[in-house]
Amino acid sequence: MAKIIVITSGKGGVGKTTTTAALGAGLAARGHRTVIIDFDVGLRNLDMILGCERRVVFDFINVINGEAKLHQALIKDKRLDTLHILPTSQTRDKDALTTEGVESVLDQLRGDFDFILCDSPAGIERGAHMAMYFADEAVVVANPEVSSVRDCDRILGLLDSKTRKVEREQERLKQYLLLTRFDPGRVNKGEMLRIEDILEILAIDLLGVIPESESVLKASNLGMPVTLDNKSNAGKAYLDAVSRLLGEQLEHRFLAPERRGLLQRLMGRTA
Amino acid sequence: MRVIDRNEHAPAAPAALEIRRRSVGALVLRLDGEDDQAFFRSLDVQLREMPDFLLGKPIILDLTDVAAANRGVDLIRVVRQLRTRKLVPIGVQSGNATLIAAAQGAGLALFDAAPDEVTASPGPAPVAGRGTEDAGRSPAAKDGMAAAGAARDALLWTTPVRSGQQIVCDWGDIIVTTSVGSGAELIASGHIHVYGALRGRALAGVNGNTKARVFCQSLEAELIAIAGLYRVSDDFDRAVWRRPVQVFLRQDSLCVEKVE
Repeated sequence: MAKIIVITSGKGGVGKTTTTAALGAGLAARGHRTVIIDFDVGLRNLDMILGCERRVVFDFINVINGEAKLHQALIKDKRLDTLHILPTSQTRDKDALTTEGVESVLDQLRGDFDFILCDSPAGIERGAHMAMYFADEAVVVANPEVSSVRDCDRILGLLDSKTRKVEREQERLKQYLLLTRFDPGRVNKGEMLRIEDILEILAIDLLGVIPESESVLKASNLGMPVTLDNKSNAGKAYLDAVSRLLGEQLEHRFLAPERRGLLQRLMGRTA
Repeated sequence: MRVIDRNEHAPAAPAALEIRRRSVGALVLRLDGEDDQAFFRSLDVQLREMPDFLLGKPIILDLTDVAAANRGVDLIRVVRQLRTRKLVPIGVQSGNATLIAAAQGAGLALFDAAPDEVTASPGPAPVAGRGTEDAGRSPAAKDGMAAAGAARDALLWTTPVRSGQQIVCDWGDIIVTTSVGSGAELIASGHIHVYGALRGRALAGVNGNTKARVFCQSLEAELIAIAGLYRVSDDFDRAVWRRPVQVFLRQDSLCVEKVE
């Protein structure tokens, strides 16, 4: 039986889709059968981040509406045969996500996969609600910035009340925080929130801290999840997060500013 | 048929009709002396801001002001208008002979004015002007909301109160053993205790209890109110900011005191 993990944040633009792609590819690379579902109906991006946008024929909404079979909509990744993507519709809106439809698709996927990652849209409306409703665990993505942290707190409140696990079992689902776009230099200058302060406010476990890195943007534009490029610090930090998701205990890395040589300093912040 | 009074044992035989006596807590709404329209306007504001405070609760209409103004009131119409707002009027109190006859005509029961009544205000209007010097008093307090005093008891909350969550306890104290996030709201008829940082809003004594207090381990609140008097975070002295404090009313003014 697959474990369903929602990747959510409340706020937009903090890196949910990038994170979903990175964690999904990371889990698949470790040999776990993984499927990633795009819940951002109408703003379909996950397929581009994963580099399969030209192979989309049927989508999640077609399956919900019975216009296509699930296996017709599932796209198998060309690099990792353990990774599948269920893209969403660009022409429909969030109302196309019915509770029964989403439940039926998840039930069909549960038997064939180890992990189902649900990429939530921003906001707290129907799309986000449907992405989190059936989840077993949640990864909440935030930037070290006050509005992002507050929206995160709001989402954590919804995860504690508006999911099937809580409604049926009266049990909280496991929640992790993943900080992205972290820049230790700016934290030292007082321009960004410190990790300790964020953890104090949110009071949940830290899954990972992803350093601000050009490799993330580059990977997105190339359609290559950043965990498949494990030379970059961001890629390594995401792979650490994958290990922690699998229950391993690892020290957090890349929390201090990088030492830079004289030449790099002279060249400015282009490196 | 059988009638059971509280102290009497019921006969064992089954009966088609059973009558018991119980006392209920009802909210008292005082009708405006001058004008029903003003009353309904204030009521609609109240319902928009805090719908749960009144919806579905038994309501007694207080006719003191109407009787004093010596005006007639179409109680059948008032009852109909309250019902369309999903309120449940059950009776009247403190009317003159004419009003009592009208009430009976409207199918309302007659109640004695209770001695334990306290004026209630279900918290400040969240956006209705920021109190600074005088710490704005909620408009609802003036509208004559009243509620019977509730039993002393407490609601215990052990998980973090998240942004957007609202915890309402209209029968006693709220105790939170963790932190209250910015954008969260605690509303209690009694005291509020927070054994973590208080970053959201805390409204104590919302039924008008001026003795209610707010305690917290770290004052970072957006707003604190007691019995309708409130202050926002800008109004707090930096000396008490992020400190363990208690907040209470002294002569109609909201005082913040360190409890270190």
